Amino acid sequence: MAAISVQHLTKRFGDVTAVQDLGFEVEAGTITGFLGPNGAGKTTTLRMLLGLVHPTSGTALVDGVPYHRLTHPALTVGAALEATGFHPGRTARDHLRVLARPYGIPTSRVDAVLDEVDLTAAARRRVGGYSLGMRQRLGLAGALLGDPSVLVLDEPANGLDPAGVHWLRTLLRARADAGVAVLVSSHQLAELALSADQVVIIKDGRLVAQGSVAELTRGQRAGVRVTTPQVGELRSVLETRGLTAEARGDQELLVRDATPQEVGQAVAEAGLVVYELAVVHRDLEAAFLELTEHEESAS
Amino acid sequence: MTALVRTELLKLRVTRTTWVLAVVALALSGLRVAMVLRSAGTAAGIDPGTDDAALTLAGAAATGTVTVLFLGVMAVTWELRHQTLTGTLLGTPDRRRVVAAKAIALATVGAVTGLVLGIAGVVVAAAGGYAGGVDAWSWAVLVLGVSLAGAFWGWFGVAVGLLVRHQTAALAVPLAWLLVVEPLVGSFGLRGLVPWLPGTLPGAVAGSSAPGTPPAWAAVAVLVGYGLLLTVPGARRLSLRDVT
Repeated sequence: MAAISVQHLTKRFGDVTAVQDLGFEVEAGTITGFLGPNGAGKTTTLRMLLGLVHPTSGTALVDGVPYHRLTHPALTVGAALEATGFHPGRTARDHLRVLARPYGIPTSRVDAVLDEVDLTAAARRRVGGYSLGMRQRLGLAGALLGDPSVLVLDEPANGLDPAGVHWLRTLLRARADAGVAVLVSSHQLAELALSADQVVIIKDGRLVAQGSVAELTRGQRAGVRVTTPQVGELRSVLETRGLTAEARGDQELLVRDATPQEVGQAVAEAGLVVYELAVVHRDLEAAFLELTEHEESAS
Repeated sequence: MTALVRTELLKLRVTRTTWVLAVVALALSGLRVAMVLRSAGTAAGIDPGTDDAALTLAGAAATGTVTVLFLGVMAVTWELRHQTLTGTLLGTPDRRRVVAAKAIALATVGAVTGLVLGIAGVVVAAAGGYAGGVDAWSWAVLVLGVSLAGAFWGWFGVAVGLLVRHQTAALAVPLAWLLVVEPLVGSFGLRGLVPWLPGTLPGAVAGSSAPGTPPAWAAVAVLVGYGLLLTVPGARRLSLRDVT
């Protein structure tokens, strides 16, 4: 059984369909990046998973049951939804004590998670004076409080500096390695590509793509980039070999679906001059942009 | 449920507004007591040494209990305003239990506030030589009544916060009700209705001697009715609501 299972999930707010027939799963011990542009329905989906928003239809289950059926929800699922869920007049420590109290989680555990997110020095300051990055860390501390087996994080990297993003990646990977199922949403892709095992991409509330980062970035659209002063000649040579190339500027060609061996052979046999020949990996960002743009032109 | 009530009490303890309102409560009570003392001996004022004077003084000391109403409103509306409701519901997905815990917690705070202010009033009355012939039993009934009235104020505050939700409006509505609407009802020839209104009825529990005051048991019964009438729709709406 998957730690998180979303099936045929749909949410309409009046006339607006925020999420439509969405389905994906997150296995224990893996990190799933939940990607999509702003307004794609990521937050609505996460809030349905956590029992805060009632689905119009479909199901969102944690360990096979709806969130509100979990015996000890905050000990099973740790969630950090947005940086605004704090009473500004309370200290970070008091904020966490309030979250810990219903479960009888001791204050020593509160201090431990504050230390884990590097907020010990600011623990007794009012949250109202916190920076966005500090609030993100506090939100994460709240999620870690119950030592949960599932982590659900909404845009946790917002407001973190590059060192903070690196720290977050390391922390999530360590949790996943310890068997935790991590679902983390983001509209920024680069920071996630380095840590996610699989990604779920949505746009306009619908699933656009799902798979491992490797699967999404490998694939047919990768190719070979060639820099040559003889663009026209190279192109016709490639075409006789059944390879399609598109111009990228005056001296550059991108050969789709080709290996560097194929292109190199063609170049050598035609006796052409080449300055540079490189394999182009499609990165997650390019894949994401392609997928979401494609969706837009189709609708 | 005990853990949830304790959580709500912890929230109140670690929030500065609570302590600001505690100071306001003391100031209100102090002011009323001072007014009663100033009027002593005048025609409209109390007659020192009588039972009536002692009870009036102790009642004045309990005035501040009404601030618990506003604390109750804040306890609900700050969850919405600062979106701490999200964290609360992640820990306790059953929203009706959250509402019940809040109502019980605020009723507890109201009861304790009433107890403290009521006892303070008795101490002032006794120390100032106003005690007259009031016996211990009457004092105890008075203090317990003030305490019970405080519990209702706290509960009603939670209910109003659930119904109105917008913090400023939720504070303004009961204020306007207490200071404008209920006094107006009296002046529109509906004087017989006034003792039964939700803002006046707690006074009956707290030992009010105003004309037409119903017996305490009837007051409690009607107050419980008001409490349920105000709380159930708000709790139901919260349960159905999408928390975004």
